[in-house]
Parts: sequence; structure tokens; C-alpha cells
Amino acid sequence: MAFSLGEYQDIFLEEADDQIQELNKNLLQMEQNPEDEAIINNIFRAAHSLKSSAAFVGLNDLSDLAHKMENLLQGVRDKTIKINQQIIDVLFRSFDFINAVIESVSQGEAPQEDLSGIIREIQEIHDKVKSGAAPAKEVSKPETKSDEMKKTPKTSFTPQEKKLLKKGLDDKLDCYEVTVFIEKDAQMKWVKAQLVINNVRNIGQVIKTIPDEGDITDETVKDAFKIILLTNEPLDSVFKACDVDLIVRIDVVKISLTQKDDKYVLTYKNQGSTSEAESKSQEEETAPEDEALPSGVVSVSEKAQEILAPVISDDVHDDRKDSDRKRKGTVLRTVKVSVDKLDELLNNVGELVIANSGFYRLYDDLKKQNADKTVINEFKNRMEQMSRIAKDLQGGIMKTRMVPIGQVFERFNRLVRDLARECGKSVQLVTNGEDTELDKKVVDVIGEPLIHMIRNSIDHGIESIEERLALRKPESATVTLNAYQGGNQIYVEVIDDGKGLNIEGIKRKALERNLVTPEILSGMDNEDIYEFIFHPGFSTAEKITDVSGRGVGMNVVKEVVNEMNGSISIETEPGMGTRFIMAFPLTLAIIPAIMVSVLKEVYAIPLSDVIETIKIAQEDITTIEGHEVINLRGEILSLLRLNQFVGLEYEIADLENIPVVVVGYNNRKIGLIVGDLVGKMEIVIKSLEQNYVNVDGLAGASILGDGSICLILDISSMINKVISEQDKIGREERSQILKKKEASVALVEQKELSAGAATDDLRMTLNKELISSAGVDAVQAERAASIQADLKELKKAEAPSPKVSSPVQQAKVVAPAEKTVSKNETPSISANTSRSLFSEQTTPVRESSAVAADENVKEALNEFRDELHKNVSSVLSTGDVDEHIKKVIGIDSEDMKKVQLLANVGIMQGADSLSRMIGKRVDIAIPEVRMLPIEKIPASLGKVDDVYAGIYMSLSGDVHGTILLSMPNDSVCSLIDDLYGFDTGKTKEINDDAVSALKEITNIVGSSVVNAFSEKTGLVIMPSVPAMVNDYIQSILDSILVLHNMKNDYALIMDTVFYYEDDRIMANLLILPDSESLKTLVSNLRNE
Amino acid sequence: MEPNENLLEQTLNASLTGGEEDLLDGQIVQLVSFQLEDVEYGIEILSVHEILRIPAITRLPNTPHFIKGVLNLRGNVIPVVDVRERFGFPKAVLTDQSRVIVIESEDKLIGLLVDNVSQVLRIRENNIDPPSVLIEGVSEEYIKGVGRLKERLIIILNMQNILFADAETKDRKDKAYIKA
Repeated sequence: MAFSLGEYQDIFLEEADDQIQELNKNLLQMEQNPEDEAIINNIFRAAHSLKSSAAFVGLNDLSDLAHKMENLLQGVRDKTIKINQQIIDVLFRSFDFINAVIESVSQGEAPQEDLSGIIREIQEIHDKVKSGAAPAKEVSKPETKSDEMKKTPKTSFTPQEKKLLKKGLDDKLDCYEVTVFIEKDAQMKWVKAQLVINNVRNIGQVIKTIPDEGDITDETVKDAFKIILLTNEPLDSVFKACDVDLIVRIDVVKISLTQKDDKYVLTYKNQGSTSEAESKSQEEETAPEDEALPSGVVSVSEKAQEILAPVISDDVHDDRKDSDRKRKGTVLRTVKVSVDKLDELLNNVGELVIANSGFYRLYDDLKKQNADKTVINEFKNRMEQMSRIAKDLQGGIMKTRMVPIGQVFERFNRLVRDLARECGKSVQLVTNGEDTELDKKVVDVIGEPLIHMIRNSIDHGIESIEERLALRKPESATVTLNAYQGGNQIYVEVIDDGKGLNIEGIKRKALERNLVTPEILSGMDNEDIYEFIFHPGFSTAEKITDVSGRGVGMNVVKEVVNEMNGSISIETEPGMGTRFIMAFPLTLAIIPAIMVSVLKEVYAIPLSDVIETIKIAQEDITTIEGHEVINLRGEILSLLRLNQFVGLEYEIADLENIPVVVVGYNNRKIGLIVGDLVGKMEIVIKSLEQNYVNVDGLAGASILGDGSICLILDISSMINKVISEQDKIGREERSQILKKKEASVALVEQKELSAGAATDDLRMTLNKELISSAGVDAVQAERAASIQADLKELKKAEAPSPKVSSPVQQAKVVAPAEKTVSKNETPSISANTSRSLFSEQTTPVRESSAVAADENVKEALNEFRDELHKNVSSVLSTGDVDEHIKKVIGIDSEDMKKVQLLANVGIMQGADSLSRMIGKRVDIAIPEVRMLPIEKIPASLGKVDDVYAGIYMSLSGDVHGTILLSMPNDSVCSLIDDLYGFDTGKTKEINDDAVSALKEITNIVGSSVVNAFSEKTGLVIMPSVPAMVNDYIQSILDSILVLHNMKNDYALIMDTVFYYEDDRIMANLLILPDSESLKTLVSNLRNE
Repeated sequence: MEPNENLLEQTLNASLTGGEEDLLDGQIVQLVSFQLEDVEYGIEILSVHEILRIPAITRLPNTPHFIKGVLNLRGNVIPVVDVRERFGFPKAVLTDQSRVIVIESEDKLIGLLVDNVSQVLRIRENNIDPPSVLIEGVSEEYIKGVGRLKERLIIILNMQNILFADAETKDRKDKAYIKA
């Protein structure tokens, strides 16, 4: 059975919450400014209100505690007690107790806290301080009835009021000062006060009330208030007017004007008093008495005299007072309403909107029936008016759900103070954007994640004072809470200026906890790695090791944020600090959504999850490992067919314009193939859980204008589904490939044994390969990882290439390497190619023009350009242009010059990208550029019997063909040594790392060249993902030509040298356009 | 005999209006009845929220087969259970007679799609037997009792399990039944 305080529990809790906030805020301020009376008054008031409301619901201990606090503060207020640290501490601790009690009550438990200790403590401090202090006035006098008089407000008049008063008295009206005492435990005292004042106003003119009428609240009224009244009604009607429910006593003092020494003096004469129990009868006796005797003559006690200042008064001054009062009168009154009620209202309004849409149909019907025009118009006007009102209503209710986040931020002052003390650090809390309004639901839950993040920041993020000083950072660290609106989102940030996240620590921990394999980890970018701290149970355990324990409760953070349809991201800079950014939708009640259809069913996708919508053609879709993917601007995007997801089977009719909604959640993206895009709409989310259960893949439902239900897709669960399936298939596929590889190696060995066809060299290579594939050198792996990370960054930077003609057209992906396997009988190839499947699916890197070229690069480019011109001219001087080219294709040496020039520009840019990628200067020289008939290539490249690595990319778009980077195997090994920084000769064969590195190099260099052509000619040329063949050069060329079924007569051959530190590595870059493409290329060059 | 006690309690709360037929001993239980493959079923009227003609129903993907979809009941999104499919009967086409009986069970509103709603029956409580042997057509977990009204037998349904009872075991049972 839950503990309850009865029907007023909710009101009490709400009120108490406010008081606690107020207490907390002011206590903190008091610590800073112990002398500030306003702050002390605020605390006093909060304690006081808490005292009465606690007593009201029967929490007597709490009431006592608040009472003691109040007493102590009263002393402070009266300056009989001087504030010291001890007092502040005891107040803080009292506050904690109060908080604890309220907390247990709100959780439906009986408060267990024993408050007697702290009560005694306050009393002791109070006594101690007081005994040492000046003789106390009635500082902590218990409240008794006799004390009430002292609590009644003092009467004083402004000149304006005095003028009124005098005029009234001159008009022979009676003036009374009525003091009304309200039952001490009454609720809503201000209402009583207002009631009495209104009643009194009926019988006369109210000159003033104390407290001021515009300022009447429970706080100000306390137990009594005063009315100064001018009336000609008899005294008993005054009593009657004041005597409403829960009024315990009414004191009436008659004010009269007497002249004394040229001054008007107000004389107060007691006219009687009443109290519920005893005084009532007494009042009845006095009242007639008063009536019998003319006022002023009666011998009643003279209570006070006040000199009525000259009635001529300063009007300007008065006006100011008046306006002051007016301002006070317009102080916003707030009503607390539960969110549930608002939701219900919102629901009703939604119904109203829907019902209203019925009128539109009716209107159409009316029009068809040719009814009276004026009626129809009137109908239309009314209908539209109603729809407007409904919309306004909807908007208004929505707005009521928004509350400023400041109230949440305020709580953290205390947390930061305490935590900082605990950790022995000096931390300042800065808050910005307190006025930013968030959906009430978010504000209600955001506290917890913020606490976790702040705690993390202070505990782990911020360095100790000594460390900070050593780092020349300010001794006092800053934690900033920021809130602001950006677009359709509200951002809430927690920023610290500490040491930043320890990425190595996170990696280590992730590996320790088996959250990730080293291979996957090596391919992850930093953002993905930071995500680990949101993993349940991540961190905390290892606090001792100083490895950033960050991640305490970060899982909770993530969960809460997700629940609110928000997202969280991390920015961190070692040594500079960390920034957690939470983004929430503006409102949770109504969300903008993209409506899509599948057959006749309509689904909504929350706009916050949508990145873009595109149209693709069937041929853009490629299958990788059983998954449909497209290449979207160089990014491989998994596809999910919505119709399959919702269990509808149908064939897509239009294969050219398949609508795809690219949706993203966290850092993950997928393309959702839909039937049709319907439009954008604002929808109200309704949970399915209310009457059913949450359904996988659905975030809820929404009711559309026509009353039908449309389902809202849950993008995160869809993405998770796709990802988990991919992981599963990926694993299976991988193990299959492993098996295949073993089989092929076995086959090779068999062949070797039986036929003895393979040369000794080849056997050697194979054996080495076997060894290498068994275990990759750890160091090597790490280096590869860092290079891959660099590559990723590079790719990111290059992703938004301006050259992209149409994003989806580019979707030619993957030259399936498996095909080559089947076509090549040489055993060594099958071994190598199948291994190449191991390497991660790499995405083509677009040209580097999008990369902001820094000064260094410019310099390098200039150097290159000079070299290039020399080269080109030397090449041309040899005049080595095949006669056939001129005759058959119609390309002259002038054209060749241009082609060569472009090839050189491309390579140059490729070198630049490559240098940037590995962080060291790599030069690619171009000693020779020539155009050769295909059949002459093998001979021209060198040794026919040597095994070459050929990495190629197919070209599509306006130019078809292949771009091929070929180099002898031993050159590859040296290149790998260089790239990975190994000792020369360490790499003995082409292993996985080598393959992926080669592919990237080809990607970069090849794409650069292609782009150079593309830019100059205005043709769209799109390279595919690189694939690799390891074979004799003739076989490589054959496989390329056969594979792509192309008619290539000529190849543009660039013999290049990779200069890397002291090494020089020979390689050839070949462009093999098909004959038609070559012509197109050349003719476009001419027109350029 | 828990179901019976339950019934008793609920019927005690029911207001017994009108002096109809056999008001002898025992409380009267009112049932909304519908026919399914020659068998008459009854749902206690107290749990019936309302009865609708077939409204627009939106299919709910990735849910058990017997969930026909969701409908909009004055702003409430409520699931519709196809009673035929739930009980393992072959699907039927919707007709003019088809209805959705909206019931309230454990604070949730659930629509039951039935072929027809025949009438509201009044059965004396002592004419209701507990579910004993396997009753033809519907497995016992959905049955609260069997009412006798003159010559008719009415299977009184237990609504608690209609939405959430383990669908898989249900399916198996159904199949077994259909085979037999």
C-alpha cells in the first residue's frame, strides 16, 4: 500500500517542489552574498511556506524543521544572528533532509528520515549564536495569538491615499482600518482576502489594502491583512462584509482626523473586534454601543497617531507609485495543469480538426447540388473560420506544453558545488539560454541525463587543480549548460573545459569488454568510438586506472534522449574539453513527417529521421553479400524495401524512378525504397501501446484528416534490423570465403604436386602467402588501421564533390572480383583474388578538388606543374605518336598533347591526395606518357614473365573503359613497406593489407586522373570500386578486356615512379578507354 | 470455480432492469452473442464498449496474423482482432452483417471482428457451466463458461487472453484441431 498524504498530496508536492527550488537557488546565492537581505527573505519565505504546507498535509516533522529554519532565518533577518559558514551548512543540510522527505513522499513511501537530529542542531546553533549576540528581541518567539498583532502589517499612507482619506473624512464618511485575521491553517488565504476586499468594496470605498491588492498572495497575506475603508454604512455591516468563512477575528479601528498644531493627525480608535469563538458576542455588544455614541467621542483606546503630512503632494511621485502598483497587478498568475490533461485537450482539438474536415466534404457536396449561392458562401466562411479557430487552439495548447529549461538548470548549481567540493576541484557552472522552451515531457526527464553528464564532467573530465595549473589552464574549471533552438530542434549542451575523452582508453575498454573486434575497431572513426561510452556498463569499473571512467550512466543518458526522440553527439578535443550535445524535437506532440505509400497503404516517416529523398533506377542497385546497396555520392548505402518490411509483395513497375527515402539514425543511414512519396504533413503521434502493444518497426499511429489511421515508422528499429541482419550475413559470408580460400589453396598445392607446372618462384610466393594469411603481424595491423582511419577522414572530406552530376546516377558499384577468379586458371590468382574479398568494401574516393587546398599543396602543385611541362615537352619532342592513331581515330599530336597534359594534372592531384592521406610527402613523377595500341602494352611494360599486381577500376558514364594501375609484385612490397613505415624488405608478399592499400592508392590516383579529364571535358566519368588481379601482365589486360567486353584499341600509358623518401618505386598507370570513348574524349577536348 | 465467482461479482454490479421472462432464482447475465460456424458465442455485455459497423481498418504489419489492423474510434487507435482467425477458423469475407465489437479488457479497448452480432441474451447465472471438456472449435483458454438457454448452448468468451495469449501454441493447437 503506497503511502499517501490524502487528497492534497499532489498540490503539496507541486508546491513543495517550487519551494525546494527556491530554497536551493537562494541558499547558493546566500553563500556568495551572505549579507543580501533579499536572498535571506526569499529563503525565509520558502521555509515559511513549506512549514505551513507540510503541516497541512500532516508532515509535522518537516513542518517543525522548516519552522526552526524559519526561526534561525528570522534571527538573521533581524540582524540578531550573524550568518556564518556553520549556519549555511546547517541550512544546506536541512534542505537535504527536506528534499529527502519530499522525495520519499512523491514516491509513495512514508518518509523514514529522522529529522529530530537536525532540528536539535538548528536549535543549538540558534541558541549558541543568540546567546553570544546582542540581547535578542522576539526573534524566535513561538507564534501565539498575542503575537498576531505584531504580525499584522503596519499601516502607512502615500500622499495620494492621504488626499483621498482627507477628502472622504471631509465628506463626513467614516474611515475604518479593518484588520482581518484568517484561520492559521486555511488554504488559499489570498482568495479569502480578495473575497473580503470585494465584499467591503460593496459598502464603501477601499482606500488601500495592506498588503497591496495587486500583491495579494498567500505569502504576503500570511494570517492577517488590513483594509482602509471609507464608508457611510454602519459598523456592523462592515463586520458583516468581512465575516466570511475561515475568518477568525476582525479588528476595526476608526480613523479620524484631528487638528493638532497646524497639522492633521490621524487618530486611531478601536471599534471592536471579533473572533470566531469568543469575540463574536463581544463584538455584538460593542457595535451598537458604537452606533449610539458618535464616533470620536467614545472613550476607546488610542492606538496610534500618525502625522498626516501636508495634503498637497507631489503628483509626479504619485504617478510613479501608481504605475508601480499597476505593474504589480499584472504579475502573471500561473495555473498548474497536468500534462495528461493537456494531452487530452490536444486530442480533443485533433478530433475537432478532423471533424471539421468533414465540413469540407459537405461543402463540396453542397456545391455539386447547386444549392443557394449565398448559403454556400456563408457555409464556407463559417467552415473556414472554424478551421482557423481549431488551428489556433491546437497551437495554443501546444504552446502550453512548452516550459523554459531554466528551472532544470537551476538545480545543478548545488550539484556542481557539492561535486566540486567532493572531488577537491574548483568548478564554476555557467548556464545559458535558460529561457529556451522545451516540451514539458523533455524538461521533466532531462534532469537525470544532465546530472550524469555533469557528474562525468566534474568527476572525470575536469583535471585536478594541480593538473590544471600545470597545464596553464585557469584553476577554476567551467561547466557550461547551454540551451538554444536551431531549426526544428532544441539543443541542450553540457560543455566542460577538462581533458577531453580518452579515445585510447575507450578503445582499450571496448576491446576488453569484447564489444568490438580489433579489426572492426581499426576501421571505426572517432565518432563511432565515442559511441561506446553509451554502452551499458561501459566504464565505471576501471576508475582506479585513471582511464577516463567517463560513461558512468551514459547509457541512461542515451536511453532517455532516445525516448524523447532526441539524439546525442559528442565533440571532444584532448586537453580542451568535451561537449555533449543533445538535440530534441521542438515538440513531441506534433511532428512533421514525410508521408510515403506502399500500394494503397500510407506510412509516415518522422522528418527528423529523414536525410533526403532521391530517385534511383533499378540498375543503380547492386547486390553486395546478398544486400541491395546503392552508391550515393561515394557512400555505400544499404537499401531496405518498405514493402518487404511491412509484408507486402509487389513488383516495382517503374524501374527508372524508384523513390528512396534516405533515413538516418545516429550515424547510421539506410535507403528506404518506398512505393511513392505522398508529401509532408504535421502529424500527432498516438501510441499503439495504449490499447495494444508496441509493434516492431512502428513508432505509433496518427489519425489523418479523413479519420483514417496512418502508421508511423520507427526508423531506429528498422535500421537496427537491417544492421543486425547484415552483421549476421556478413559473418556467414566471411566464414564461407575462408572455406573457399582454404579450398583454393589446397587445390593449388594439389595442382603443383600433380602437374608440377608452377615454377619454383610461384610456389615460394604461395607458401609465403599461406603463412601471411594465417597471422597478420600485429604492428602491421595497427598501422593499417591508422591508415584506414586517415582514409576515412579523407573520404568524408571529399564526399560532397561538386563534380557529381546526379547523385544516383553514380551508383555503379563493385567490379565483382570473383568473376576474374573463374576466368583465370593460374592458381596464384585465385588465392590472391579471393583474399581481396576480405578487405573491406571500399568506396571510391572522389576527386580532391573538393578538398580545401592548403598553402602547402599549392606549393607542391606548382612544383609539379613545372616538372610536368618539362615532361610533356620532352615526350612530344620524341614524336612517338602512332601513325594508326592519326589515321583511324583521327587524333593528332595536338590532341595527344592535351590528353597527356590532363593525365599529368590528374596524377599530380593524385600524388597530393596520397601525401595528405598518409601524412607524408609522396611524389609521383611522370617520366613518360604515351599512347599505345593494346597489343604493344605487355612488351612495353617490361617483363612478360613477371607477375604484376593490377588494380583496376571500371569507368562508366560518358566514357567507358578501365583505369589500371599495375606494378610488379616486388614493387608492391616495397611500396607497402614505405607506406606502412616498415623496414625495407619486410613485406614479402601481397597480403590483405597490401591489397587494401593498393586499392586505396588506385582509388585516389585513378580518381584524380579521371576527374582531371572529367573536369576539362565536361564529360561524366565515374570510376567503380577498385578490384585487383595478380597475374602476368597479359592476363591482367585480357581479364579486363574480357570482363568488360570492351573494344579497346589504345591505352594511355603513364609510367610513373612513386618517390617516397629514399625509395623509388616504378608503376604504370594505364587508361584504357574504348575506341568510341576515346573519340568522344578527344572531340570534347577540342571543343573545350 | 473462479470464473463463476467472477461472473457472480460482475452480475451483482449489473443493474437488473425490467421484468422479463424467467426471473426466477440466480442473477441474470446479459451476453452479446454472435454466431461463428454454427456455434453461438457470447461476450458479457459489461465488457462491451460498443458495436460498430465495419469501419476503415488500417493493416498493422509485423503483428500476429489474427490482428486485422487498427481502427480509429474517436481519436483512439484500437487494435482489431479477427475472431475467426484467432480461433483458427477459415477466413471469411466481410459482409453487411460483419461487425466490430469493441470490448474493454484490462483498460485496453480491443475490437473484435465478427461475422455478425445476433442479439443480446439474458441467461441465468446458474445456467452457466464451467468449461469442462474441450469445446468444439475454440480452445479452453478463451472460454469462461458455457451457458444454456433452452435448447441453445452459448460459449461465453474470456476476453483476457484474446489479444495476448501465446499465439504460437495457439496456432499449433488450431492446426491440430483442424486436422482432427
